Amino acid sequence: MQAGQCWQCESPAENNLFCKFCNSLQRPLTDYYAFFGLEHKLNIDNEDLQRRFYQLSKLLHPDRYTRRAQRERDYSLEATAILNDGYRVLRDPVKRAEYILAEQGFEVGEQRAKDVPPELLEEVFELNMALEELVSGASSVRPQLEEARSRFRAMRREADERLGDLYKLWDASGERDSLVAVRGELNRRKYIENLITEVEKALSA
Amino acid sequence: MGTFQIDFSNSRKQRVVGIDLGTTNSLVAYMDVTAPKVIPGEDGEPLVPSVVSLTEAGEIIVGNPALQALITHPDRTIYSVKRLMGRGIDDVTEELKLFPFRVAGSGESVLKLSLGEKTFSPPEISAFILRQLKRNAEAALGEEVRQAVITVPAYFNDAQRQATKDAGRIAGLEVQRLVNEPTAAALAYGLDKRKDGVVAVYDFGGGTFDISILRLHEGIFEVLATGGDTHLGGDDIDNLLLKIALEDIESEWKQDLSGNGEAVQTLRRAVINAKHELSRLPAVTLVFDYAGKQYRRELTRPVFEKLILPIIERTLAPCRHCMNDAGLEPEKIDEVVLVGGSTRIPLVRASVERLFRAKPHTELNPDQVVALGAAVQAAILSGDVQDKLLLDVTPLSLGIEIMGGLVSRILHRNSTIPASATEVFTTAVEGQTNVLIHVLQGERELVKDCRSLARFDLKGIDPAPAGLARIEVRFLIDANGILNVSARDLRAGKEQSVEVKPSYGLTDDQVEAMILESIDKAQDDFQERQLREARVEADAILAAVEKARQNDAYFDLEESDRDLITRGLNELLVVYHGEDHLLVRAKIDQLNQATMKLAENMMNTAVNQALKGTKI
Amino acid sequence: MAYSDKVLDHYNNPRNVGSLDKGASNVGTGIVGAPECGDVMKLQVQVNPATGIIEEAKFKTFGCGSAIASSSLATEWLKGKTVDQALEIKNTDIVNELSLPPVKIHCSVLAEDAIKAAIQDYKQKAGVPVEAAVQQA
Repeated sequence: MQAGQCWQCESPAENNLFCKFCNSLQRPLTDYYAFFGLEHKLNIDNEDLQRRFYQLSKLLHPDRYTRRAQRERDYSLEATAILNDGYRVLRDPVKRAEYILAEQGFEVGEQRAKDVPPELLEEVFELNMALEELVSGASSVRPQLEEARSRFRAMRREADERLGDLYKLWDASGERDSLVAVRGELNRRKYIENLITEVEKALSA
Repeated sequence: MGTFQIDFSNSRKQRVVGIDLGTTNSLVAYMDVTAPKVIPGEDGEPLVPSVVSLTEAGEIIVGNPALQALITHPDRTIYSVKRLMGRGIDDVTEELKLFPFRVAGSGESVLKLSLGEKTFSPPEISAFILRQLKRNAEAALGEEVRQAVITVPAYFNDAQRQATKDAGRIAGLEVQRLVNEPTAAALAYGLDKRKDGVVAVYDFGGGTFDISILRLHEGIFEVLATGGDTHLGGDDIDNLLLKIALEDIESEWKQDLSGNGEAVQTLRRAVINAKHELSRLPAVTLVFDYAGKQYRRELTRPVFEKLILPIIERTLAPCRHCMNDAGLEPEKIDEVVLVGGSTRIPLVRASVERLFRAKPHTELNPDQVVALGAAVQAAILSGDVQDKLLLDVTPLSLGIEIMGGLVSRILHRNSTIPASATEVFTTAVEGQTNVLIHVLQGERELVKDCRSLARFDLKGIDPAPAGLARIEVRFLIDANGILNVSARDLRAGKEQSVEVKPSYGLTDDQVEAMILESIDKAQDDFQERQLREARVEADAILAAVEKARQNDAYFDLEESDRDLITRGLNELLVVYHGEDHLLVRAKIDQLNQATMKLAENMMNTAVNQALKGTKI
Repeated sequence: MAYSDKVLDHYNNPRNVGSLDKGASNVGTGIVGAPECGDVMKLQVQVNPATGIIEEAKFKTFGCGSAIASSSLATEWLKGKTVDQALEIKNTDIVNELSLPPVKIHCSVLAEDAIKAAIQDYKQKAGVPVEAAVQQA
């Protein structure tokens, strides 16, 4: 079998999920957007995504392939894992943006500290210090912690709103600069998210 | 799909049964034309108690007979073995305090329990139960059963799932799928519901508690979140009552019975009966006769409820957690389904109703609903049911050990399965040719608080300076919730060999050995039963034909027809004492064919005579 | 995975946690962050202006164990070094010393960046010409 050919009947496979000629399941594509048949956009209609997810699940799930050839069973497992992984990423606006950033060559995993504005770091550091003081304090700080939580949550909402606008910008223009801005806002959001986790941990302790 | 598929597999479809392998009771069910049905055991009871006993003659007995043996031969009998599935000696110390499990010693990673003079691992004991269910199904369906869907608590970890799969293999069953119990219940529940919506399944069984929240949408059963406690169940209520009764008796009789197996089991039975009764009566009297003495204690429902409240409350925290994970408020939950015998307790029902603010469904038998759901899933797998699909999740996060005894999470709990995650590993010192990866399951940050799944040794890495190697490891959780690992050397572009050392559980070789040991026996069992049944049938036809040969109609037959009958008779008698049940059946068929005309004639004669005697 | 006792020790009992007077002319402060995991690290050095030798180093890190161990190790190494020697500390040295796995290499990068930021801050305060200062002039 050659690349681009159906493993079963050797007709051209053209990157489809199923061979057009013999209908056997092909090795799945690994790009989440392509897998779901979506354009590479940062804004996604989540209802449409869910519909596609259910439809593809019905076609690909291993439950549907127990009586098939081993090859198809393997592809079904593979394809369903990609489907589920992809659904988890694409339905989450933050993970989705990180996916696009990685795809566009932004090395998300190896960012240098200089990519973060110093004022933000200072702010986060101070917030962390204040939180640590609250938590280690002897007196009950529950009200202050709850106040901090709602403040952080409001910050996260604002970040999400800004992200939404930036997503629109990139979807419309496709310019790299708008992605740089997306990354900056994502970083900020990540810090806020961490603070919220910390407060919640303190509150549930 | 526009075109149709050609199925190249065996043209005759293999039947797949659904099995609920429970802590207290086990059941087997199958999909009858449109609805799932439970298959009763030899005694006609749908529930087979999950009790295994070794008789003094060395025979294994399972179910109700073994339940009797629990009292007469407590040291040769085991119950609630599900609590030990996939567990190491270290994590069952609590269990051992409460259950009379006799640990015969533990090898590297597997517990062994003694049953009389023999020892068995928990999967082997479970296999005895499965084999009984298999036999029951074969007797009812009249065909060999080799494939099954087995249910497990949703909160079972990888080792517990693997152990269940091993039990199936040892019992001679190809486990087509492990299905989470609450999900199976939802499947049974939602089978004839056309409505879409959000359903919570509260499954409080003998030894485990599970909560799952699902979205039902056009035949898709999508699990949104799941949670639970693998060590919380009706057993805990029994143990609590038993402990109180034993203390009570000790202060009354000045005699400590806790070391007396027979007395404890008798008392245990009395306590369980009292618990059951209290679900429908406001008060019961616990009576225990022992060695000429009698212990009596009145127990009212309010007192009972006060005692068990802490146990019931332990189920509510996972429920809240689960709603949180699903991102849902109680108002968003359309229906609540109750599963498991412990949900018969009125206090449980009231607590569930209060928490979810919805009256729970009780129309399905809580003991049977899981097995029925397993049968539905079995029918989905065999292709008999095509408009339903189950999308389940992994109950626990998957992580790898990193510096400082910490766990780095690579796949979060409640991810829809199959699910995968990829990590790149490298070497720490120059020339290093293998990398050890420690995989864990759990939600905690420290390795010691998580469940060790396995250590993977990546071998045969090309020697290179430290940090240069790039080994991509793919962790894949399959539809059974079981982890598969594969690795690629990114620099060399080749598959990397992975050696797996499971932290708990049987190795493949051990399972193979147990299968070999048991499969011959299981085959023999099946053959023997088939033969017995064929002979019973042969006896019937032989007697009928002998009788018919005295009839006038026999002498009215052509000689050639009479010869055919004589030959049929003789040939059946020849194979009757052989070992081949198929041959006996073939000869029965042959004799049936040969006597067709005779039967017809006899019938006509009888009808004519009847008509003659009647005045028209 | 086996870790050396030393590494575990850095994680369990981090050295030099605390802060120095940010306003002092001989103290350099660097705050850096690793956005992908949300870690934030503050590292400070106190330099003897006469010798140019780092007399004291403190840090405070909000983040994972690897980030804490990395900054703890970094402050240990800084003490007794001249500011120029300090700039020679590379993240790979930290990776090797702590055997950090690839997923945690960014923690060592963070520590290296923190050192650089703190030294630059000190140099700016002390009037030592540095790249950034030259550009601003």
